[in-house]
Amino acid sequence: MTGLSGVLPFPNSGAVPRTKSRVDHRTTEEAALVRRVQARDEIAFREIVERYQAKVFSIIFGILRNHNDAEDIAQQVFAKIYFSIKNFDFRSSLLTWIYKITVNECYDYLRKKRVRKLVYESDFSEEDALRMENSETVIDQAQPMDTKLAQRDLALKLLEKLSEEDRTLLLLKEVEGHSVEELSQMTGMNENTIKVKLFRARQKLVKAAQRLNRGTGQKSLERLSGDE
Amino acid sequence: MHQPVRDNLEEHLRGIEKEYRKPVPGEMQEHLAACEDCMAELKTVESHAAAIRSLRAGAVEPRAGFYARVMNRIDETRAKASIWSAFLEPVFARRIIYASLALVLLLGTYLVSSDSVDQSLPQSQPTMAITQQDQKTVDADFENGTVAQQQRDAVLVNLASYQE
Repeated sequence: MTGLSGVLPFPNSGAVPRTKSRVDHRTTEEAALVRRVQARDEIAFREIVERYQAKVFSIIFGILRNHNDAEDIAQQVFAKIYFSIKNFDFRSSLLTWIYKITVNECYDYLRKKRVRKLVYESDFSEEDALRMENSETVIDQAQPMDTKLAQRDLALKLLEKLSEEDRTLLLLKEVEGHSVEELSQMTGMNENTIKVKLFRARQKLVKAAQRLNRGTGQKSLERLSGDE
Repeated sequence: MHQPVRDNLEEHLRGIEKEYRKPVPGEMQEHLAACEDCMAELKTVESHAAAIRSLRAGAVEPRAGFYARVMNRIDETRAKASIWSAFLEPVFARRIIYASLALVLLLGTYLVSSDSVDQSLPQSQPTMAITQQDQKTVDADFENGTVAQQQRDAVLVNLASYQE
């Protein structure tokens, strides 16, 4: 990696300046629906659930790959939407806001799951833990991890190191396939800001991956020296 | 990563996908051919983008009755929160704070006023009260002196018997 990344200017928004008008999220048909929900209209809320349930499910399922967890978290997401829609300020599109809540809920779930796992493992004696560790090593050697699974695991670990905003932007760009222009309209930020934010997020991912590799290397070294 | 690559990075990453396939812009291509560092960094960024794309999932629909289950969840959350959320309501919380402050003020005033006046002394005859208090002190001193003398004697008797 070059060390020049930190001192060079950020990307230009393009040679030709764009004069696209920004979307005013307060005047859309979606905004009217949100206002109805803010006024405690249950029918409007039902419309939001029906409109976005497939999207929310697909985001959660993409991250967790488990139907039961997806159902549970999707319910949680819509409950959160119900209680906090009064704070929705129309700066971004409703979908962007829902997307952010959904991704945050997934990461909350993953964090809680990891804590539960740590607590569960701390109940083992040292001998049990060693036995488990050894048995995992044997499985690893006999059956190499599926590439897709490894990719997903890497993506989740790396995205965890980013801020909520950076994570949402990268997911909207890579998973949902939105262009910079679309992201600009969805978030209410200008295209140059989006490009700069995405670039910084990608740089953070590169650094996080380097740290992750160093950590893994360190662990392997420790294990090797332990065997000696 | 140098400017020609930075400027075209997002377009390039979108362009390498099948559905948006686009040739690498000339300026970027020329730079990549000459700069190994940029090429290496671009490969890393591309691999990360591919890893994130692996989180894509096809259309997934919830089971029927999802809305009803969401409403159940909302009711449950509301029921759980109702006891404690009352304390978080600004109006109710403000009332509790004012009531607590008033109580503290009342107790404080009572304590200060009860400390300043000694209830055991007769307020109408201060001279007599002081005399009575002096007499009590003298009596106590006398009693203390007698007790001390008795203790001293006992110690002397003990010492004498020990020497014998």
